[in-house]
Amino acid sequence: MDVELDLTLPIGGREVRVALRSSAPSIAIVGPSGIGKTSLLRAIAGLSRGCRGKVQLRGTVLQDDASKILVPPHERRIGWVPQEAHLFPHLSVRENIAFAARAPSKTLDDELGITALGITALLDRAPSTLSGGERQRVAIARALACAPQTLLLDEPLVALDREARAQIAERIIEHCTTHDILRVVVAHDESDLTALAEQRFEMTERGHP
Amino acid sequence: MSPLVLSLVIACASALIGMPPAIALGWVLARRTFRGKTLLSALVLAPLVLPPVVTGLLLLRLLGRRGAFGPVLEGIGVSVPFTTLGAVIAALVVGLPLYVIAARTAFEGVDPRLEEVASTLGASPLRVLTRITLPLAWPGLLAGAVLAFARALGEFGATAVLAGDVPGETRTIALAVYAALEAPRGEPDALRLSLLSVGLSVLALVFHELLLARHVRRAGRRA
Amino acid sequence: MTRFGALLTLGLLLGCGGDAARAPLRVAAAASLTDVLEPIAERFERSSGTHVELRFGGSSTLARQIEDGAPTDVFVSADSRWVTELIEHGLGRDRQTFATNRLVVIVPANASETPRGLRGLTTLEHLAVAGPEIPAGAHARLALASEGMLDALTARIVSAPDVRGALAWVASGEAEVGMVYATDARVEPRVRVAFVIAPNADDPIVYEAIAIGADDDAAAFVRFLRSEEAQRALADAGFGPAP
Repeated sequence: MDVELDLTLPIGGREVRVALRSSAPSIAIVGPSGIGKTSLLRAIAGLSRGCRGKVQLRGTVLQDDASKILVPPHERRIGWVPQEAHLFPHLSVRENIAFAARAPSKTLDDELGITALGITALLDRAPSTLSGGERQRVAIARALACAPQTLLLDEPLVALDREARAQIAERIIEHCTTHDILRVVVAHDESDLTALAEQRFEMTERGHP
Repeated sequence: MSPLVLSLVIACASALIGMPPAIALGWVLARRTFRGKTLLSALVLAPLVLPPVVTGLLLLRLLGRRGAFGPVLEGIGVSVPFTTLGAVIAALVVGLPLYVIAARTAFEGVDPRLEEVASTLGASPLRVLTRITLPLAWPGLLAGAVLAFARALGEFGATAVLAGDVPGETRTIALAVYAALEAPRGEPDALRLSLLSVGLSVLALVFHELLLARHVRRAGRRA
Repeated sequence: MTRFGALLTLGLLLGCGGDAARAPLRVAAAASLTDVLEPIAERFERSSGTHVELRFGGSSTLARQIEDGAPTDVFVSADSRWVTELIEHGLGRDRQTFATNRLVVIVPANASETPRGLRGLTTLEHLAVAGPEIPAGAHARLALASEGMLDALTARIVSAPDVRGALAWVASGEAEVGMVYATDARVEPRVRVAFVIAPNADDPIVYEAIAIGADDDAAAFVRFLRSEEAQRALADAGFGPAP
């Protein structure tokens, strides 16, 4: 699964150049905090206004300033699991997930492994009543529900306890493999990374290797 | 129509008609940056700092028969001065700044990251607006409508200039009180009307506060 | 020496402060008299040595303030009802009429046609007058009624909460015609007088003054308004003479 990035991003008040190429089915992006990993994910998702350059995912050019191509976020077939879940507070868990699903009345479980993610009991709850770990699981389910071709995961396991992490990581990998989804992961924890990603890129002061 | 009913009708009409422009302007000011944004904001807020009579005169200059838009309006058979429509427009323009400020605040209170996530989940900008932004902002937007309604209830200066003081058509509570006080022993009438007006305004403001509290509860930047 | 100096200084101060020691005369007057009363008050000051403090406002507002106890010595009113009201409450005396006014029909200064009489007004779209509760508005409606024109023109009447509002409508061309006082029309260059309404003996437009309280100066001021000097100033401003 091809990934090609050649971007100049505003990060922390500076303009930073990031370049990356990969063919692996899963990529991890690591680096010290504040270096811009989340900014990079946002740029890939199309949410970064000030980002210039080229983004190519799986053979599709999503952004190319030279050819004046800029695909808007909602057309990029990307699922984004942000670091803080960001569940829609006015919708129940079920409605949050259904918002992302393309066809309205799918049996969510079959597609997304709701049970495997451990959120069946939460379906009718309001997001504000959930714990951090529960919210994160729902965010994962929601991102999977939009049938993405690429999944961007920003610290997806950080709110879960040790036992749950391995289990959820497995679920994510299984889903991505079955549905042929490219995984781009930002994480701190070494064991998280080993679980979730094959190829690893490190963001340093000078950019990517 | 009695001044009370007329005031209610005019205030409701101006709050309803003002909703689309207020929401649109509030959204643009909350979510977009562009050249001339400060100027737009200043224009919208101008009636807040101008004496209402001046606002009325400006409206007359724009919408009167000899005004900038006079011929256009005449062409479609619409007459603004001295009519109930004129009273509605005066109330609308005077209340719009408050409305826009409230709408802008309501939209600014919706976490933009929620809109971003919705976008990445495949929702078009329209779907984001209707399924995420507006549902989260609506208590604040409604609070703005109520505030504009309350302001319209008390409107005098601009109405007097643009619409006049025609009993049954444009004589609102404020104008009726003014007229009642002209004559000796007019206090009972004036007092009765004033108490009605104060009562309605207080009700509106209490409702406004309740809506604001609800807005804060709903659209908080959590989850 | 020192004591004598102190007494001398004291004596001089008391002597020079002769005028300042007398309280100023507080006159509350209808706003329509603003321009004409100021020079009249100045002349009164010169001849009587009493300083005059003028304050202007709507007759109804001023009368209410007086009823509520606002310190006032003279009330100059454009609205007879309020003069009567104050007298009935025992607040005023020495009632004098010192001027009259006339109604005029005005059109915008650049109007192409000039109506010649009340009957000529039926073809025009808007007739601007003050509201019926305002003296000017009441007089205007009575003038129409006495010619039998009130019913015919009622639909065309647009009311302003005060005379100046009606005047502004005609001045801006929004209303093709209006009925205001002659003195109002004079101050607005963007209107011209089409014709004058003959005075109605049953409904005179009068300006009255009363003295509030027992002060001699107050009564003197009220009388001064009927003096030749004051009457000339009033005539210059377009008011009619005291009857």
